[in-house]
Amino acid sequence: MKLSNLIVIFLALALPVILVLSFYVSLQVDTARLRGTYDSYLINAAHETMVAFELNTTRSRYSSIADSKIRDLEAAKNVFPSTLATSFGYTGSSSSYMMSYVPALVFTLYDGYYMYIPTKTWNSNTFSHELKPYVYYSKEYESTNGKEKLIINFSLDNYVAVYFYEDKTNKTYVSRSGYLEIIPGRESDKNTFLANLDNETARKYYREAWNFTEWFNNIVKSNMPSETIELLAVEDTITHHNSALPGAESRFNDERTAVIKNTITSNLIQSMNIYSKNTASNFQMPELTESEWDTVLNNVCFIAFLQGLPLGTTLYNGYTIAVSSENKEIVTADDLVFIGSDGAYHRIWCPHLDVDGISRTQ
Amino acid sequence: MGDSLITVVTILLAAILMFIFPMMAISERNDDVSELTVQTAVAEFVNNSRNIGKITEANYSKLISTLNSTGNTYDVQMEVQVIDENPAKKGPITSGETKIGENIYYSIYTTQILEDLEADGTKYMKEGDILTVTVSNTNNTISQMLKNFFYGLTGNDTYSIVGSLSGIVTVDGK
Repeated sequence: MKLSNLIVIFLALALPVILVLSFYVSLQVDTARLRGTYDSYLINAAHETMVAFELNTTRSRYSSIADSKIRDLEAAKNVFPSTLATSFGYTGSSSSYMMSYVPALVFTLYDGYYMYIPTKTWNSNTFSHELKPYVYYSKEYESTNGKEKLIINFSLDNYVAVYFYEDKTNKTYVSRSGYLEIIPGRESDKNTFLANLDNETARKYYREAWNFTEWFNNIVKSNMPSETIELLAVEDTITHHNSALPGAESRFNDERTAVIKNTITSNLIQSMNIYSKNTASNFQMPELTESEWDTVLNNVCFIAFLQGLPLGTTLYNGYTIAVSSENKEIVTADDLVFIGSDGAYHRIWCPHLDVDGISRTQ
Repeated sequence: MGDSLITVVTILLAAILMFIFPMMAISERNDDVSELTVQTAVAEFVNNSRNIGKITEANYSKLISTLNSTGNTYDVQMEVQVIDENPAKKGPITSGETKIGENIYYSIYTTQILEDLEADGTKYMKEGDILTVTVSNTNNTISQMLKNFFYGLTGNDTYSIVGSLSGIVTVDGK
């Protein structure tokens, strides 16, 4: 066979392979680039939604009232599809089209969360996104003999609402809510601690919190099995610190975070399953990482899921968490601003913070 | 005489087609795959950083190690455009400092960001800042060398692998 024939055969074999390979790889590169772009779109839309939520709630005097909050949430939620649609180049009425790729939107607030999920309308087979009732971060505990029942609604800090059924077959219950607090510093007793406080609000807070905590401990210790008592112990038996304070490493906080995680994920998985069963897309709950959970467990957040968008050879599957930095739901230590003795404003972690001659670095 | 010339030309052609052409094609695909990795890593780094409001050392070293895994050397250019007010002493003294015009941005570049990372392990950003990251290769990849050899089209300072993304920071990083 002539050399030129060999070349032709080689070309006939190699050229298609190389062409297909190069096409495939460039498609993958485009897909990766597009995924990055979609991620940005999603983050931007979620951020815009959070800004709308903040604008609506912080400027509204009545935002703590459920009706008003729902109205604010509806308004904030409408920002999401329109921002997303604008990014994707859809305009006008087609913005609702984007919502068919959104299996869930979640607003995690101070003591519970709101979810927007596709819900089947009663007279047709179509789905539309609807706001579900507020879900509290709550868990039910039963006593050893199975007679008493304790329901605790946790929150992002040491505030809890408690419902105690002395007899769970009977529908009457005692309910109380308040902050879980112990006397800071092991040796000081209540009265000297209160006398040293020069702030009436702080005094009132501690008095009410101690009162509530005493009642809470009493209910838990006299009715619950030992493992529940260990979980819900307000005072750490080793360090004698308040184990309910946010950020403290304690079994109470482990339990609190587990309850918050469980209530959110179980509802999300369920609603995504129902939706994917009824549509062609296969929606699945993505796994949130530990650091993302950490964000959700310490802040007011908006979690948006976007799934099923065509993306090169695959389907896009993404989610994002937008954190609120300005709201009336919760005040964390990071939100506080102090006026130092130098007359300037400082955050609590600022090394230059110096109040009454005592600086943080000392 | 004519026949032997044709044979020599044919052998040359065969060598080019059977060795150089596949080598070029494969090295170019190799660069594409590197670019895919770079693009993904940069997107992940930028989106993650602007979503948590800070550039952490952990995220930065993750980006660098992902980049290094492609076997090339890279130049990572970061820029944070910090949003700031445009203050001016204008009008009556009683009103104090007033703001004029739009908010302005000032920029912080790679070396300054890395200094912060070295000192605290974290570079904090705030809501509204803009983070831009551009990554390009600094070494000559095989595909670039081959191209240089055959076409002489590309200069020494050109790059073939590039990844870039920018975005607005969505949250105050503490």
